[in-house]
Amino acid sequence: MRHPLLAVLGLELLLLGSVPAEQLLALAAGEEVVLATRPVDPYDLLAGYYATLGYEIEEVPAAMLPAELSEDERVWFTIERAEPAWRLVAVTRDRPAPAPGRAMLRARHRHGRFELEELKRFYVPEGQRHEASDAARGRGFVDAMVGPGGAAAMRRLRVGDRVFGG
Amino acid sequence: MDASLPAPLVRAVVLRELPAWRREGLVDEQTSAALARRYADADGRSLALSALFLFGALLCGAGALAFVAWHWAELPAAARLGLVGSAMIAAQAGGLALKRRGSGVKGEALLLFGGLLYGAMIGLLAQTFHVGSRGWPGLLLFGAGNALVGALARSRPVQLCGSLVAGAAALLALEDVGAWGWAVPWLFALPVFGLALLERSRALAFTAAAGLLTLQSVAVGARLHEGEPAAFAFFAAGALIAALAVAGRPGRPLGALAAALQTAASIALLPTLFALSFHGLAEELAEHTVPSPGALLLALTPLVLLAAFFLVRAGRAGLRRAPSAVALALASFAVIGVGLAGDERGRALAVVCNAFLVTLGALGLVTGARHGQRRTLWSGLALLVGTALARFLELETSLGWKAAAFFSAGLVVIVVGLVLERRLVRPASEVHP
Repeated sequence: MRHPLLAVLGLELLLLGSVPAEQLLALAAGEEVVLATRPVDPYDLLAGYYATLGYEIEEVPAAMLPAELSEDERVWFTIERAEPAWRLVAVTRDRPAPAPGRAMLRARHRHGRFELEELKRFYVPEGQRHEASDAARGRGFVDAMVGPGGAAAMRRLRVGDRVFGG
Repeated sequence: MDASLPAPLVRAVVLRELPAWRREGLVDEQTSAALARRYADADGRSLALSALFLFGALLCGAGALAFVAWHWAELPAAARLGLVGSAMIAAQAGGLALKRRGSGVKGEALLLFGGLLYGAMIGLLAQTFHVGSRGWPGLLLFGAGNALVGALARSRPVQLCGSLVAGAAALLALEDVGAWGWAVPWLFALPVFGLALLERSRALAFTAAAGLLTLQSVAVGARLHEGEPAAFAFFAAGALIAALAVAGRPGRPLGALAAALQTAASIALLPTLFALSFHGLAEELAEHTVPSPGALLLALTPLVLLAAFFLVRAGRAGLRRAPSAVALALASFAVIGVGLAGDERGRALAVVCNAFLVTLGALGLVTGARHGQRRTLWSGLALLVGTALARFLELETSLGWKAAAFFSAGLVVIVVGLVLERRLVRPASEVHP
């Protein structure tokens, strides 16, 4: 090979670019939404400590459940602007049409529950992990950007007066 | 020495041809012995230096990974990405340049460091953009990326590192497989072993064996988490095989069998030793295993008898020839003994396993360097690396301190390598004017 360095760096840039591609798109062209959290404090080998977040909208009322969902099936959450956090209005198998004041999020049905996979981990510096973990046990809010394809990127975690990230 | 010929090739040719030169009267006995000594020593030194530089690069890379995971927030995200990214590019450009100029060993070490910085970049990007709900996709991207980069840059250490990480990530991805988890490592390894056989590639076979060890460690670790004391069955089998291996003597029909048995013992024992070197896993195993004097007697008596019988038969010469087999057998007895008795069993188990892993690694490194045995040296290095990584994975100190400790240790190893290189690897003209 005549230019191995270029090939190596090109490949790496391609792979590295794929890591935050959807988040970058959401941050660049998305709409800002607010979600209420209910939390949890673990560690990732490469990226460090994070707070695992669950969301109130993941508890879907029985009336909204699509029929016979299979394990690992992907569904769409339609959320609507509300105070203090956006609220769930529909869960569908098909991607809903865009509507003003509404946004759609991708979720997965796993072990009989729903997960907003892209909004699960909020990474924090080691020195803040206990504080973030304790804070996240209370009711908190995540400010996230949601892209046109349903991809979401977190900007900050707010618990009371404490703001993490952003 | 012709500068265009790689030194290992020259050594291999000289050592292979030497007996024929002596038979044909081209060199006398004394010269032949001197040549054999020189090239065996030089090969051993060169291998030891390679091992040191690669180990140093790995420790520095682990330090960089821990530093990124520490998540220092004082610098803006863009500056952090720029800093780690430019270090990655510089390391890889430097590594390729060094390889082109003939400093293959240092080039490989720098490329390996660059490959680990690429992993740090993945972590940094995930951290900055809060990407991912599971750990294995990042590891898979890290491993697969390095495997491909290693192939592009023709760097075996980077390729190996990438393959191992990718394999471990693949296993983590299959965590829901349950009882079949034990079989998964073999599913990955067997096709690679087959390919190695077809290609007659020792490097491929080594990659498969190393991957198998890593994957099986993860599988054993997963089982221990479920509280299964089945690991002791591995030890019992491994101890028996290791004891048998001690009996073999090179040059006898049993010698080949003994070598095969020792390899099998390593495959059976090392993953479990490795898994139990984690304090948490050892504690868990100790909690879930109820020792009884009968079980202790049952497990130890035949093994002690067998080991005694074979040790006596092999004699001192056997012990000298197979120190790692002896250490493996001793490790098995110690682990079974400590594991089934005592109050602080968990901590003692972890300490014993760590001590034996380091002993086996150092034995391999020293024996391999002294006798110019590549396989022994690289196995020793792999054990040391595995043990260092095990301690890296355990979260018993702050990530900031861990980063500082690993990075400093890596720098010390590299400086030792540079000093040894100056002192030991003298130009041929200085040795034979």
